[in-house]
Amino acid sequence: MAGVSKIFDPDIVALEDVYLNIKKGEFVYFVGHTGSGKTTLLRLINRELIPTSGQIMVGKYNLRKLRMGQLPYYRRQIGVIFQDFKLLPHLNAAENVAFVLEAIGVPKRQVEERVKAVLSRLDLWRRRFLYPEQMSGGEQQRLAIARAVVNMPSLLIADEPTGNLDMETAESIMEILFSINASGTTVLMATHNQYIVDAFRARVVELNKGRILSDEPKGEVELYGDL
Amino acid sequence: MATFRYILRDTVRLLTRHFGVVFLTLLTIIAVFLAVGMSILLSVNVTSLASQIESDLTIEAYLKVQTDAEPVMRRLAEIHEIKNARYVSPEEALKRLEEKLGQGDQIISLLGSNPLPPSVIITVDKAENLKDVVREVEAFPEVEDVIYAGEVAERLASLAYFLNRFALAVFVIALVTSLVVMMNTIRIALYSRREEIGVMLLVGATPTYVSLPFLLQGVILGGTGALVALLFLIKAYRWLLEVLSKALPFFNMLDSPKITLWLFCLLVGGGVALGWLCSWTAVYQHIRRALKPR
Repeated sequence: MAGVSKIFDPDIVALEDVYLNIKKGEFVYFVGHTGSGKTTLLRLINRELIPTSGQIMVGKYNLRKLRMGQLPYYRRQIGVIFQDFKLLPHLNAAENVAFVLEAIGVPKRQVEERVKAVLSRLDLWRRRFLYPEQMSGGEQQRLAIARAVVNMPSLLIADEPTGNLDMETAESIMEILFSINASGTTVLMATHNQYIVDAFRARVVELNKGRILSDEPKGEVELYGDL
Repeated sequence: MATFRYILRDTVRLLTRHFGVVFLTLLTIIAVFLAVGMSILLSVNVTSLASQIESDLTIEAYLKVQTDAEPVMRRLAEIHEIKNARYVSPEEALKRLEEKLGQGDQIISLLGSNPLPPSVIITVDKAENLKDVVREVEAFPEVEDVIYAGEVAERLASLAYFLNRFALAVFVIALVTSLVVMMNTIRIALYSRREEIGVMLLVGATPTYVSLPFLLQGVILGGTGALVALLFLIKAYRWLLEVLSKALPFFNMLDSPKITLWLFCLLVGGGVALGWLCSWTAVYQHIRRALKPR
């Protein structure tokens, strides 16, 4: 990411002159106040937004020059855990995970195998026939993670994945994210949870008003300390 | 292959999820294509009748009562453009009428005497000479009135012209109605699945995968509606042919498998094309907006 700025109409600066280099297999926290630019940065990487200026390269893809026809193939390499989960209420847990694979044309038998594997890994296999509204917040979050990783992405984007969870559930979610990272997936996570950042050490990029305030390789940072 | 199966499954889900709306749309499409088909059939039949009559090269010259036909026939023989001229006595005219209507005796008993005048049936060599011959024959002092097919054909042609315009108007109104109804149905389906579509696009589904079930929904609705309307039309047309062949035996309605094939291509092809167009317009806008980064 080189010199990236994002300005929304009318003159709302969400990101300003951001330079960032993330290596394959890294686990990076993006921390900062609400409105600091964490979500904008993640949405730029998922190409939901395009920068006002600057370049973003993800692997071989230059996101500024990415054509509409290439976008689905780029997104297939990315798993996204949305802040609001974005689970589909009319599909049960297994269907919520399966539909991602179906959307990219994975054969039925493989879909079944991969859904079973990922739901088992996240301890949701027994709950596979439940609909999202019948599940607890922690289960819904695990289901959102299952959906994000079922396609075995090389990059996982998580926007406040522990935001609405109690501490115990948040810890279990973090353990899952770190185990996914251990298998080689790059994880980018936006959070404002000081405890999580302290307990699960990784690189921490701190943002304030759209600028990078600090970039600590092992998370030795006190959130909002200088603000 | 797997993708194709998922697309088909999604199409079935779309058609059954809002069954009430889908059913009402189908009924509207059937009504619209019935109106289009009927106006087309009416128009082609009148046009065909006009051209049939137009190609008739005979003139019927009615003579004054008590006229000696001999000098008339002689003068007619001198006109080069006349291929054939045949005298029809009042008795023969009555017999012909009786053959057509089967009521000759009743007419005589009703009127007391044969009311039909003597006439000459003239056949002209070429269509372009028809009007000249009519003008010449009309000038004969023995001739009371001249009736020729061209006059009827001209009236029918103007009726056909009006009917063609009417059919076109029906077609345009029907097209706009079905466009609006079908697009609304697709939009309701899109709206009910907007979250799903959004997530699908975010996880890497291609626009084709997302849009195909909606396009197939449009095609199935348009095609089925048109097909049902066509079956109704064929049945009704057959019934009308049967009734008219008995009631008006001299009125020849078009009756050939070509008409059915032509209507099939026009209505079902139109329905499918219309369904595809409506769905494509609605879905393309939606997906383009969803995919476009801000």
